[in-house]
Amino acid sequence: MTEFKNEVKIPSKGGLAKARKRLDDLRRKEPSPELVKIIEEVTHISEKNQIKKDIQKDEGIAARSLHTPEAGI
Amino acid sequence: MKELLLVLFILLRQEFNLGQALPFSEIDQYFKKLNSPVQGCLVDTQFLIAVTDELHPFYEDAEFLFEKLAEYRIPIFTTVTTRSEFVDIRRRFIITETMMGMLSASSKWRISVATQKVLRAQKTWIDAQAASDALPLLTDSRIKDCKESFMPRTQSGQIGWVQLCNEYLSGKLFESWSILSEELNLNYIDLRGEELSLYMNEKVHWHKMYSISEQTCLSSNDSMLVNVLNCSKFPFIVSADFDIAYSVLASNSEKAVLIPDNLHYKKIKGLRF
Repeated sequence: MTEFKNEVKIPSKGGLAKARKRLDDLRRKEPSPELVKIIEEVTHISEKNQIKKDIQKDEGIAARSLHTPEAGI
Repeated sequence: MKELLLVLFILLRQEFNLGQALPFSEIDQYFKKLNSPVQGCLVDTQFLIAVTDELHPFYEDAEFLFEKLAEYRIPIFTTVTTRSEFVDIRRRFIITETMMGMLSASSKWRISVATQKVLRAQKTWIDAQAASDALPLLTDSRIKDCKESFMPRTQSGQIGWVQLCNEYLSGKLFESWSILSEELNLNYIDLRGEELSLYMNEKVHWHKMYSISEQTCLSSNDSMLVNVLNCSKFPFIVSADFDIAYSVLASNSEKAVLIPDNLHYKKIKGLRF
């Protein structure tokens, strides 16, 4: 429709398919064995921490309930 | 009678070039009516996502429109806002795919039961998003919930989350934008320079952005984009976002917004200002 200076880029029909393919290729499918090991360890530490936190929370609730007027303390 | 009035109303808006929202399928008629040559158009982030991501509800519509722009040789322009939003959505896309991939039966990941539980809860939400035609991407708040599973409380996450990001995200955001820009032949308007760009009628000022945002409660990022459109020589913006379409329609400016047909018929066609 218009004449443009050289520096202006015009979209081309084939460009879209190329963009989609290259963006798809960029997706990483499998993790490295090193990362698998690290994540396994880390998520298990995280799980243990959460269990510890839950126990502390339960103990806190139990301790507080002993100090309620109903408990007579 | 009612329909006749509606047609008259639309014709009057077109005659006086008041803000128009048109479906993609009317692009040929729209170009025929334009009196002057088109120097280019703006696109929003949702359009760029729609054109590249097959999970997007407007994937096919966006492809149709992109090919039309190529056919008519209309240069596509982006701004700093579009780039930053696109990169942000790519970040969420990559991390969502990585997190959800950990739940796959064939995956090599070995994660704890607690982490599986966290990720399954997110997957339920993701599936619901996909079922309702919304983008199935984790929000920042949900990414934060996942992140905590990969960084034990007593550690910084240096071993864990940071390494995960390094392997899956490092370099990918820069490359994603480079690919898009290169293959779709996107042009970029740099608004920081002192000189007025060749494609702008006037300088872009903050106070106008505030007014645009205030008029329809448009997000600041979208308001910046609409502000650039209003100050530019471009007659239209291509969008896949209702809020931008609504704002252009409400603005009574001389600009138009082209949106996917389905969005137009469901949410825009019946609106009168």
